[in-house]
Amino acid sequence: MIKRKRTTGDVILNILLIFLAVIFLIPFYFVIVNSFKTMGEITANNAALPAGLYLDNFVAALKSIRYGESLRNTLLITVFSNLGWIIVAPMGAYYISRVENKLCKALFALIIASMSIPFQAVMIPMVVVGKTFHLINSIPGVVVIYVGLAIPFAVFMCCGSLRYVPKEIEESAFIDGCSPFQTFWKIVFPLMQSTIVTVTILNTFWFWNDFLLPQILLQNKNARTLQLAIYQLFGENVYQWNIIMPALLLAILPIVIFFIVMQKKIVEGVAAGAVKA
Amino acid sequence: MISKSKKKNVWNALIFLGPMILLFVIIKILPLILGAMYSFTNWNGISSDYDFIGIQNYITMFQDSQTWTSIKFTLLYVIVRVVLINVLGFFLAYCLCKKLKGVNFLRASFYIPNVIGGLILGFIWKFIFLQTFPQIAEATGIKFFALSWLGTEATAFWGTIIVDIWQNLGYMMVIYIAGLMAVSRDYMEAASIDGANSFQTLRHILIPLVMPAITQCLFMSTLNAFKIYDLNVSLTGGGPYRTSEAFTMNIYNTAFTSRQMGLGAAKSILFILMIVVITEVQVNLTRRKEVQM
Repeated sequence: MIKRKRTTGDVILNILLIFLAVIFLIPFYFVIVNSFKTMGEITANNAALPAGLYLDNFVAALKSIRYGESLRNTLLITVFSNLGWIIVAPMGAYYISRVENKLCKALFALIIASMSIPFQAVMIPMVVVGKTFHLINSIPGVVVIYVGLAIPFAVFMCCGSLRYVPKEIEESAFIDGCSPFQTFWKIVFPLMQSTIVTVTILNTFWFWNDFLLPQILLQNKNARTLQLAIYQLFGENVYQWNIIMPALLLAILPIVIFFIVMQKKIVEGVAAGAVKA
Repeated sequence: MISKSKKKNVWNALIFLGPMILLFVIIKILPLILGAMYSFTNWNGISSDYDFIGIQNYITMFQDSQTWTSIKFTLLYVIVRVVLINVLGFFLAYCLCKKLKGVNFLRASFYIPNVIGGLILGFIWKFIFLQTFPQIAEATGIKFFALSWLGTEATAFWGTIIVDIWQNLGYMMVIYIAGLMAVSRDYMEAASIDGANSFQTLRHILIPLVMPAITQCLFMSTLNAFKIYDLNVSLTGGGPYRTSEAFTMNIYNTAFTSRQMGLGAAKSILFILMIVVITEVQVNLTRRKEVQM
């Protein structure tokens, strides 16, 4: 963007940045090496490489966070919450942006205004709403709440992308005898694909990593998410780092793999989501 | 979409809008109304009856010194965090737009903490502050590592800032890179032909042109700074002696630990007001600086 030739300054900057990037990754080094150590090894020297691959830690960690179960719960919440808003929000956005009456405009304004109210500020009444509608302590219930919370941003993004969908295509679909419902799902929805992907990526990180909402609404032991399971590990006064470290490693592994595989799409999505918001 | 038959129109509205409006009203609007209502009651969260006590909660809230400690912590935190993360994020993005070796590796390394939740990152850093830093201090004698990390008001504050920046710098970087990439090379070249040095180009050409990205980043980093909770819980737990308790944790403790739902609801309303007022002012200030090309 700025200069075409590499100068000495650029080379030094390059080295500095690589150094900085390595510093950024060091915390993960500590998580990995200490996952394979005994408690004695950790307290003696936690920067050193492990003496051997001590795998008992992982066995204990898998059990203490009930990995299979909490991973499954987290996955279920993430997948179904995403499916939920994908079914509900784009249809609503389509109606709002095509039927441009006063009611739709008011609804859109209300939805956008609600975006600036964080969950933190409504968590108390959310418990009441959750109890009233039987959404508490169950995975499907939490999914319903996430879908509701995801609506404003999704509608906002979908309305933005619908501006670029030409109405002529829809009109010719009507003439060919498609119902509005068919036209939407067969013609319009596929054209909104890139926005749907962007919002899905952003929401995936939110649903996967969220802690406050499950902490309040999922107190049932069998519905624990990964975040809740990790939180329980720190309930005792003495931290068993030799179990905590492999547990942390197991907890971050799925989402880090997701990032590495989808890296390009994720970075594009984050940038697109931010510029439009 | 609009058909001549009225019956069909109602039917379409029901199919397309119905599910969305239903969820939006129940999950977004209803809690807001209920929250505003509870803020005028003495409800404890358990019993089914409560009394309306006027603005008593709002008075109690400001009489409680812990509320003030929390507000001060949160506001100071927001200011320091927003300034640091935007300056560093912009600078990092600026560097990464140059022709460098290993740009993809660099970007991925800076971004990766962002894909992990604050709760887990806080616990990772708890290990580093409590286990690794003392060992480094012992081995090197550097005073910085020998500080009582997370044990005092100041180290709890700065410890949280460090981890937060480590987590979110990559996010800011990505948005700033997108902003910088959108600026045409022509402007830079024209400026350098006119004899501007790289600082002048940055100050008078580049920054005004990426102002929309700056507005966006300032807005989002402010909002996220106010919302801090997961990291707060895992890193310091609000300690020592509730001196690093950010406002969300204060609301949580009021409502769910002390069982003062009404008071918690009043604090939530204050929380919304703080966020809306501050972000509104900020966006208005930076929007004015944006230029049209």
